[in-house]
Formats: sequence, C-alpha cells, structure tokens
Amino acid sequence: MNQIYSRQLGILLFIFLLGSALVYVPESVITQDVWVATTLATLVGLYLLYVLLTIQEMHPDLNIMQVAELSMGRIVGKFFNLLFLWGLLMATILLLFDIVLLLQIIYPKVPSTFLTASLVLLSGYTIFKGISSGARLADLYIWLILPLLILGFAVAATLFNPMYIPPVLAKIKPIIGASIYGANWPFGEMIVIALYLPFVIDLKRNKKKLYFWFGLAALVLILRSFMVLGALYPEYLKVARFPFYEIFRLVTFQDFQRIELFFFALFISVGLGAVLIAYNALNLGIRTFFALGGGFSLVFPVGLLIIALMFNSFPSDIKYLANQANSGFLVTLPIYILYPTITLIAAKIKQKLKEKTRN
Amino acid sequence: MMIYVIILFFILCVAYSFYPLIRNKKWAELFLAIFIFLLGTLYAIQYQFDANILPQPGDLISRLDPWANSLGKFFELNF
Repeated sequence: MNQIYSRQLGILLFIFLLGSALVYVPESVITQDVWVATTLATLVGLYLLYVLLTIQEMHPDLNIMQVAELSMGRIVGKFFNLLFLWGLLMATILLLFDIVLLLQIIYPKVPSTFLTASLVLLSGYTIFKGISSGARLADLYIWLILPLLILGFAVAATLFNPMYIPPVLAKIKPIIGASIYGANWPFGEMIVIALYLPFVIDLKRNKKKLYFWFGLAALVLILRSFMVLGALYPEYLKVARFPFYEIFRLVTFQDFQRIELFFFALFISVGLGAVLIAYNALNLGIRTFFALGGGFSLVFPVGLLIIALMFNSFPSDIKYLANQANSGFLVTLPIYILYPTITLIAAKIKQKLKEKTRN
Repeated sequence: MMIYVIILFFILCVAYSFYPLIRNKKWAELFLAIFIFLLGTLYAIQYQFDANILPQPGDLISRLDPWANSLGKFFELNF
C-alpha cells in the first residue's frame, strides 16, 4: 500500500519545515526585523506549494519529474530533472549536516560519523517500511511535536523582553536580503514534497489540508523568529549558531538546569523527520530519473553516498558556518524556484497546444 | 570510523539491494546500485585518507563565496 492522505502529507510538510529550520534561524543574517524576513520568506513557500499542487492537478498520476519530461521533451526534461536531483541531493546533505551539528553539541564525545550513519540507517529503515508507514509515523509524531512546541514557546516566553523587538521595517534592504535566505532554507527545500504528491489519494478534495499545515508551520517559524529576537538580544542573535536552542540553554527553573535536553525529543523528531523526507525524495527522484519504477534497492547505496558527500563537502563546521552557509543559497535557490516554475509553464503550454490540435 | 561505515553499508547493500536484484535479474538496476555504492565508497575513502581528488559539491558552494559576500554587502547583511 503506497498511498497516503493529504492530512498525512500536510503533517510531513509541517515536520519537514520545522526540522529544517526550527533551531536555526536562517534569516538571522540580520539582527532586527528577523520575523518580518521570515514572514516574507513564507510567501515563496506559499508560491511553491501552489505551483506544485497545480502541476499535480494537471497530471495526477505523474510526479513532477515525469511531468517535466512529458512537457519539455526527453532531452530537455532530463536536463532539468538532473538539476532537480542536484537540488534534492544538496537539500538532503545540508539537512543531515545541520542535524548532526546539533547532535554534536548534545553528544560531544560521540564521533560524527557514528551520529551521521545512525541517522541515515534510521531513515533508511523507515523508507524500507514504505511511504504509508512513514506517513503513519508522522501521524504519531505530531502528537509529540505539538505539545512540546507549545511548551517550548511557553518556556522561551520567560526570557522574552519586548524591548529587543522594536524596529519594524526600519531598513528594507536587509530584510529583503534575509528573506532570500529564508526563501531558500527552509521554504525552497520544501520542493522535496513534489515527489510525494502522486501518492496522495485525496489531493483533489483535501488540498486545503496541505495549505493548513503549511500555514501552521509558517506561523510557528515566524513566532520562532519573533521569540528568538525577543529572548536573545540582537547582538547575541548575530553570533548564536542555534538561536532557538540557545534560549533553552539560558532558561533555568529553580534547581533545574539543562532544560534544552527536555526538548531533545522535539529537535530530534523534527530533524530526523526532515532528513527522512528528503532522503526518500532523493531515492524516489533517482528511481524516476532512470525509470526504475517502485522499489527500495537504492536506499542503502544512496545512503552511503549521502554520508560520504556530506563529510567531503562540509568537513568543518567552522568553515561551513563562516562561508558555505552564506553562499549555499546561490546553488540551490534558483533550482528550487525555477524548476517547478518552468515545469508548470511547459505543462500549461503543452496542454494548450493539445487543446488547439483537438479543435 | 569511516571504514566501519563502509563495511556496514556494504553488508546492507549486499543483503537488501544487490542480492534481491540478482535474484530478480534486474541487471540495469543492479548496475546503477553498484555504481552509486562504489561512488559513495570512493568519496568515503577520500575523506578517510584526507585526499582531495574527486570533485565535491561543497567546492562549488565555496567558489560562490565572493558572490555571496557581494550580495551580503549590497543587502547590508551580517555574515
């Protein structure tokens, strides 16, 4: 049974967006109006969701890569699909690297190769169980994630100082710049769900549920940016690696310390969920590219490739955070936005030509 | 440590990928699976021995640093 419901895909999208950027604040390349930049970035996510759903409505039984080949022709379609696969690979590697960076803070003595391999193996096992099992897992996850999120925001509110918030739209340029970062990560990366859409059996009736879960994730991320700005003063926000995580490290309740470890379940659930979703999308993408049909034979070979490429590409977190984290969007954002847009335009043109020929 | 990862994934690939594909005579898929596994192994060995022979996705990102810095300056961002 390789079928899922819109609700389940919506939850997967929610987990993916939070897993990708809950503890990180990609828009923190500015210190003021971070939450405004996040709000602007959500518009890109909303646009992508609209484009992906429109493409899927036009060709309900095909995935975006098959639509690209059908609309643009085999050679051009394959070229664009190769770029899309590259985007998927980069998204998976970066998501894995991000969660491993966080885990290294919690488990400083455990080798990063062990942490990385464990995450990939856990994800691989879930992929082997099938897409429906992954969706049911998301159904269960959400009851763990939502209460912890509410509790997390309540705890973070104890450090909140409204004095740190003020400037709203004082400088437009930095806000636009920061929103580009947010548009790439996490909202651009949500293109991975394109390969899950053909598995949804009630997409036509319940696509609003996808918009609902997207909206909820966007709201949580905007609130996170707002909370981070209010809880950490702007100068600290500038240097914090994991701003939302830092809040929990600063909070103490009487004799209780290390509050952040209580929220470990939240961070690992959403982080692992995001890796799992991207990893499965990459697996589905490679299978589609080589027209292999369904199956799991590539899961472990691709897993090893992801691990090896991650360590080769980002051997040092210092180098990554100082340079690569800032320039990564130049490689991925154009693919995340242009690929679905071009595919949609090509599909529309193809459809119109077909109608003309019929008349 | 990376050597153990390669060995573990080799066992998993043989058990859950190569063997079922050979049994079902899916030769094209088997060839692709072996190719991806070998590519992953080569990159893993490269990392283990700190060599820099194969091209890496991170290199492309690093090459774009000057562009990112120019954009950062234009948008007045704090890198």
